[in-house]
Amino acid sequence: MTMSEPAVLTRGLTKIFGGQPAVDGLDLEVPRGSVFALLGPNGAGKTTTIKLLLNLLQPTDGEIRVLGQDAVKDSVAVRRRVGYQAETQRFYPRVRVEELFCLCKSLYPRWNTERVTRYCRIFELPPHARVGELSKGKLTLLALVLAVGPEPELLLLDEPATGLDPLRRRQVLQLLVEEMAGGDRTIIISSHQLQDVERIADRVGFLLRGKLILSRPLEQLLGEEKKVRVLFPGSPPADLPGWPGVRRVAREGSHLLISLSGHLDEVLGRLNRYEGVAFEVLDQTLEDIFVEYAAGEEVNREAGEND
Amino acid sequence: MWFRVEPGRGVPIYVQLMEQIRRAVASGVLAPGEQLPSVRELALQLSINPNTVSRAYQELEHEGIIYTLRGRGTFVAAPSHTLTDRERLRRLNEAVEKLFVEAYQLRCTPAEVLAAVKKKVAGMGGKDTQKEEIEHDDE
Amino acid sequence: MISRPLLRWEIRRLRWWYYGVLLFWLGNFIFTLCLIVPGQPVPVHWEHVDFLWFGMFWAIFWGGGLFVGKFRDGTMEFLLARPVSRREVYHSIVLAGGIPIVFLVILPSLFALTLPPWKTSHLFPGLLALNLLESVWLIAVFLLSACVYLFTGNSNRRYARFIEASFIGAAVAVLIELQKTNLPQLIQAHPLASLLLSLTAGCLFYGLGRWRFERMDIRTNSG
Repeated sequence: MTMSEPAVLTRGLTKIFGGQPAVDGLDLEVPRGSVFALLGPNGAGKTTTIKLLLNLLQPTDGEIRVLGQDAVKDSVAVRRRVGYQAETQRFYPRVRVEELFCLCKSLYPRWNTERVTRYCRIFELPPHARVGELSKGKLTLLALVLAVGPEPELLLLDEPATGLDPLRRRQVLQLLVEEMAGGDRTIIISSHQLQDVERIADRVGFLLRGKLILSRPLEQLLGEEKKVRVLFPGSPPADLPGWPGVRRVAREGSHLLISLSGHLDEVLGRLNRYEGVAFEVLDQTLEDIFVEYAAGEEVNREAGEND
Repeated sequence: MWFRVEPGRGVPIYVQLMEQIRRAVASGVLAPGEQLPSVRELALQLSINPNTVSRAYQELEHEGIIYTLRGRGTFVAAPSHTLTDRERLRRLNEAVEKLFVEAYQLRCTPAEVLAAVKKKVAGMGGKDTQKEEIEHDDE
Repeated sequence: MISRPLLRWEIRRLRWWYYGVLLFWLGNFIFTLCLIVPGQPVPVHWEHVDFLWFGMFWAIFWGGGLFVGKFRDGTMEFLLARPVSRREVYHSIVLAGGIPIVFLVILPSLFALTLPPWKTSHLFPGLLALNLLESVWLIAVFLLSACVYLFTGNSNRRYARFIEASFIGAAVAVLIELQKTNLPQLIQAHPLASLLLSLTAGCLFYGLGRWRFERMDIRTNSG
């Protein structure tokens, strides 16, 4: 097994639904053993991307390699090594939980019964219950257990916190941390729970209208994305929007709010040259960054920038 | 252990963890030679990515605050004298520079800054003469 | 080609239908045995019993129905996210669904078989041949119905609903018309033609359905 090959590699991946691209020329690279958070507003193409990896959807164009194999030609072999937790969990309403486990056990090469039983106990999933009787939160947990049961090398989680209370969310995080600690596992999470994402993600990718507008290690993202609130005594420099790292300049009353992607020291240095200028650096949380990018501002950099 | 990390503060989690460990070592809560939890344990305890804990430990090890013995664990290092006086002062000046940038942004007066520093220094347990000098520095 | 665990699973999903047909067979067997008095003529005339029409309706509604249900409630997405190929899933659904339909239409022969041979042996080979020829037609219709659904049912386009409804309407109308002609007699009269035609139709619809299923996008419809 080649360890250097990324867990997921897509080149120019495109999926068009009825004339509209849901995924547009996606170049995604997810290194093995990392936790990749796929963020973006609703309808940005996150679920579509995940489904394309599993060959639930056929790509209109582009190539996809998952765990070193072609996701279209060798899709069955890929799915043997991948666990998937779907966003909508409705299926088989009259089937019992234990029957589902039985089915999965017979379909996958590996099935960790001991771990599945333990998680069922922690999440309070009764094995005899019928799927249709379970609450929304329990369905999410069931889907998660079904995804990790086959000890997959890659976990695809689409909104793993749907309908979960804070205790369950924490338990899910712990489960994921355990999965991570157990070897060369790769996890791709699509979630709106940004606090949870910040805890466990190594790398963040932001999808907007089907395009990957950024892909960076989380720490780098938090370190580079800053806002500076400035008050110029006179009129601000005309070339301010062109300064290195400046993505956007907005007006906030008498102040200017500069959105920066890196180059903080340089910008502060330049600001310091102005007499009587007052400024304040604002750290951006992941949520702030999300809101900023979701508002549609596209970065003036190459999409898919690597560290 | 009693570490806490808060996502959503705008500060990377590994930095928060490093700060807490540094502070614990500086204030003596973590004694030299004491063992820190393993990467896996701490990650599980805090529900964070093990790579984050790894990163924090690596950086701290680089700074000489902790060290790892393969197969045995991670331990707090004894205060090291390997840095030259010049290097120590250089790092101190860097920290002071950061303090002043912050103070400037907050529009603090020199008196406020001095008062804050005095309070901290008083708790450092330095020589008595140093303390006196600082008191006399008051304008 | 075929996944045994999956086939067992699909049959299990439909087990009540299997039980129903088996019960029907058993029930009739017991019923007839109770009525048989040695020396007296058989109370049921097996050569006139025919489940072809009943089977046709069943084939039409199940052909699409077995697939519709799975798409609508997210089951198909669940199944195809497992390490099974689309071909295996298609085969399991078709086999698990086709078996009880075939069984139903062969019932008259089985009834005849289970009676004391001296009463019905003259009937048996002819009846079985007829039932088997009929079952091939049923499978062809079943696969046609599945095919129609796979091309139209999972699409959000407006005309899809229209085509679906038209197909069902047309099928029912055709059946009612055919009912007036005596199809079983026709089949008996031209067995080879019937076999060739039904096999060709069956293979065609199987191929089309499978081709479509292997290429379609799996999206869970909410309604």
